[in-house]
Amino acid sequence: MNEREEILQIFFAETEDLLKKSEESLLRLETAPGPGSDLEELFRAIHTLKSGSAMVGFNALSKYVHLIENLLDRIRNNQLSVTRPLISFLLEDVDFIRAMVDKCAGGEDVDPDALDARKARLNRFLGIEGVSGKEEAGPEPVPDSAKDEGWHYYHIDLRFRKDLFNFGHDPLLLLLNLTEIGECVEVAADTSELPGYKEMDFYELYFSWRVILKTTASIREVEDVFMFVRDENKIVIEEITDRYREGVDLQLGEVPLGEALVERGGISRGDLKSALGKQKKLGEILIDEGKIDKEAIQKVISLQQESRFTYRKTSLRVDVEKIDHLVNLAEEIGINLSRLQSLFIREGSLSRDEIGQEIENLLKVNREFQERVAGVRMFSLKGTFRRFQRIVRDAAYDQKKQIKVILSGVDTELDKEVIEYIADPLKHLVRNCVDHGIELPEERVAAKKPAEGIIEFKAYQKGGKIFIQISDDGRGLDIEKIHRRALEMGLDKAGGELDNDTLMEIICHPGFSTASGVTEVSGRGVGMDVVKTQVERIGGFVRIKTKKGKGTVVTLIIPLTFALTETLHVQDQDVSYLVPLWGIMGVEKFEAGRMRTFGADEKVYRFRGEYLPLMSLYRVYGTIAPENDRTGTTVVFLDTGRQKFGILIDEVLDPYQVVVKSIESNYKSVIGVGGAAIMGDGSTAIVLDLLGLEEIYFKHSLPGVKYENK
Amino acid sequence: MVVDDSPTFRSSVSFCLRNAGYKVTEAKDGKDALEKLSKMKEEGQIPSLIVTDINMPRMDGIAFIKKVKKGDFRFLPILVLTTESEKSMIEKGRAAGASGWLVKPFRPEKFLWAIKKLVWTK
Repeated sequence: MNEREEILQIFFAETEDLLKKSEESLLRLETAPGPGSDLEELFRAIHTLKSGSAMVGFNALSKYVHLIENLLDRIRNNQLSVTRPLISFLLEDVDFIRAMVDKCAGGEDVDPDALDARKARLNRFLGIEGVSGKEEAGPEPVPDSAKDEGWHYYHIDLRFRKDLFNFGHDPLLLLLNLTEIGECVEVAADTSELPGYKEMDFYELYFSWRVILKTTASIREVEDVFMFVRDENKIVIEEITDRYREGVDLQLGEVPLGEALVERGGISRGDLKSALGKQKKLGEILIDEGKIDKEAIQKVISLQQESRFTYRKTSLRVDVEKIDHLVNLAEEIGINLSRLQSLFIREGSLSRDEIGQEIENLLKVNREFQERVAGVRMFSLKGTFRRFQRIVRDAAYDQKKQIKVILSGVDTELDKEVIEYIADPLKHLVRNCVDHGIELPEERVAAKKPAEGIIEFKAYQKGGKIFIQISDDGRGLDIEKIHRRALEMGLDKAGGELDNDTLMEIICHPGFSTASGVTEVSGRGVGMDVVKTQVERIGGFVRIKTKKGKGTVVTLIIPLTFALTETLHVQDQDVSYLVPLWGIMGVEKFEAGRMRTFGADEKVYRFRGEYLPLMSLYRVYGTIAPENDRTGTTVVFLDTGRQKFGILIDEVLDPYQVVVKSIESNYKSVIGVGGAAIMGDGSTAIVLDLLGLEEIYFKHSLPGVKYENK
Repeated sequence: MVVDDSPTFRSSVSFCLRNAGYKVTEAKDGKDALEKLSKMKEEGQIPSLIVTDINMPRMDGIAFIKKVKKGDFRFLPILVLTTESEKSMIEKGRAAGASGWLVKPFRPEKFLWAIKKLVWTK
C-alpha cells in the first residue's frame, strides 16, 4: 500500500466515524431542536469532513459538504429553524454522502445529475429558490497575467518590530527567500539602533535592512515572501526598474547627499534632520559676514531656478532604444531611395505601377519615421507618478498617516514639455491630498473608514486628450464654508447651489487661496490658481469633484502635445486671427448700448453684469484702421485666469485645430502673438497670445501700436 | 509537530512533511501536543515548526499557542491552519503569537511554500 492509499484509508475510516456521529447528533437534534451542543458537534463533524475531503482531492464532495455547512451555520445563527423535514433531509444527506464516498473509494465519479438534484433541494432549504446546482465560482487564484519576462528591480525596505523573534520569524530566512527568487544586488543593514552590549536584549532585533532585488518575479511574488510579516512590520517594496538600469540607480545623482545617505548609508531621517539643523546655509553665512545682502542672493537664486526650468524644458534625455529605432528607419528610407534611383538609371521605362509601388513603400517608412520622431518627445508618466509615490510615502510617514498609493495608466505617454509644465501643479495636488485630504488614522476609523487612506493616480487617453486624475478618499472639500466665503468675497454672484464648475472657479480664484482662514480650515485651495493657470497655459483645463467625507477627485485634462492647439478662427479688418479656445468665456453680437467710453479711448463693455475692458484687435496689432472708425460686429469675451476682457472683431468663423508655428524661431518674440498657423486654404493667421494681450492692456496704456520686443 | 484532530488531515500534512525530509510528531489536540512537547524537551529534542489546527476538542489551537508562547519553545515558528469559516481566527492566532497561517484546504506546494518562510530547509 502506498502512502496515498494509506491516507485514503485513514480518510474513509474517519469519514465513517464522522458520519455516524452526525447521525447521532441529528437524531438528538430532532428531539431538542435549535442551537446547542448537538448542533455544534454536528457542525464540527461536517466541517472536518469538508476540509478532509478537499485534502484528499474529492472536490465535488467537499463542495457539497460546504453547502451543508452553510445551512448548519444558518441554524446556528437562528436564521433557519430546525424542522422535521429538514432533519429527514439531513439524514438522507448522511446516506447520500456515504454513497458518494463509497463511489470515490471505488475510483468512480459522482453522478453529476444526482448531485445537482440534491443541491437544488438543499438550496430550497437555504431559501435560494431556482438556483441550479451550479456552485459559485470560488476565488481561484488569478495567475499573474501581466508577468513579463524582463528584469525588475525592487527597492525593499525592511523595518521589523523588535520582538519579531517572539513570533517565530527569522529575518535572515526571509532574506534568503529573496535570493531564491532573484539576486540581491545591494544589501545594506542599518545597525544604528544597536545598543551597547550591556543594554542589549538578545531576544530582540535591532537591525533593519534595505535590499535592491533584481528578479524576473512580479511585485506580487516579492510581496508574498513577506506575507506573514507584512501587516505587523514596516515593509515597503517599491519597483525602481525605470531608474535602476544596469546596476546603477539613475536617480541617485539627482538626490541631495542627505537623502542618498538616508537611502543607502543607513542613517535615519532623524539623524539627517538634526545634522541639517546644525548646518547654516551658505547664503546666511555670507550675509552674516556682510559680504552680500539678502536681495542679491534672492536674485541669483531666482535666476538659477529659471535656468533650471528652461534647461529641463529644452533638453531631452531620450532612451537609446528610441534613437536606435530612428537610425534604423532613416537607413531604411535611404535604402528605399537608392533603390528607386537605381531602378530609374538601369531601366529607362518603368511602368507607373512599379514606381507607384516603390513610392508607396517609401511613404510607409516615412510615415513610421514621422511617428517615431514625434514619439521622441513623448514620455510615459511612470517617472512622474513614481516620484509622487515617494512624496506621498515620506509625507505620510512624517504626518503619521497611513496612505496607500494606487497607480494606473503609468504607461500613458505625454509630450515631455507638457510633463514639465504639469509636474509642479500635480505635485501641489498630491501634497494637498496628503496634507488636507487624507485624515489621521483615528479620524478615519471614527468616520467608519479604513485606517489606511487611498490616493490614486490615474492617467488615460480619451479623444486626443490626456486625463490625469488624482483622487483621494479623504474628507473632501467643505463646500458650505467655501460657499460662504465666496459670497463674502463677492465671487459667487449667482448664489444658490454650487456646482462643480463654479466651485472650481472659486477655489482657483487668486485671492481666495491665500488670504482667507476658511481655506486653511478646509485645507484646499492654496495655490490652486497656480495649478489652473499652468494647466491652461498648455491648453488644458482642470475639473474638480468632491464629496464631504468621501474624498476629492481632481482631473487635469490636457492636450496630447503642444503641437495641436484648439482655436476659434475670427476675422477683423480682413486679417485672420486664431483665439485659443481655453480662454474664451463667450461670444456675443456687439451692441453699442452695452459699451461705455472713458477718456479719450478707453472702452468697457457689459458682460454678465460686469464691465470688462474692451480692446480692438486692429489697434493692438496695428493693422490698417477702419474707415470712418467702423466698429466690429462681434465681441469675444476672454478670461486668462487673472483678467477678463473682451475683444471686438468683425466676424467669427469656425473652430480650428492648428499646428502653431513659432514666430520666435523665425523672427523674434512678439508680445501678444503666440505664433502663426497655416490655414487649410494656404493663407496664414496669427495665433493670439492671450497672456501677452492681457499684459499689453493692463500694463501698458492703450492705445497705440503695440509691437513690443521681449 | 502536527496538531490536528482530524486523522485525515494529520496524516496528509505529515505525509507532505515527511516527503520533504522532516521528522514528524503528531498530536490530536492542544493538550496532547503540550504533553508531547514536554516529553521532547526531556529527551533534548527541539522541533523546528509547529503546525496546528484551531478548532479542536479538549484544548483548541489558540489556547495551545498561548501556552507554547509562555514556555521554552516560545521562539518556535507556529503555522496556523484555519478554514474559510474561521478566517477571523487568523487575527486571534496572530495576537496569540502565531507566525503564519494557511486556509484549509490547501495544496501541498502551497504548504511547503509557506513553511519555507518559517523553517530553515534542510
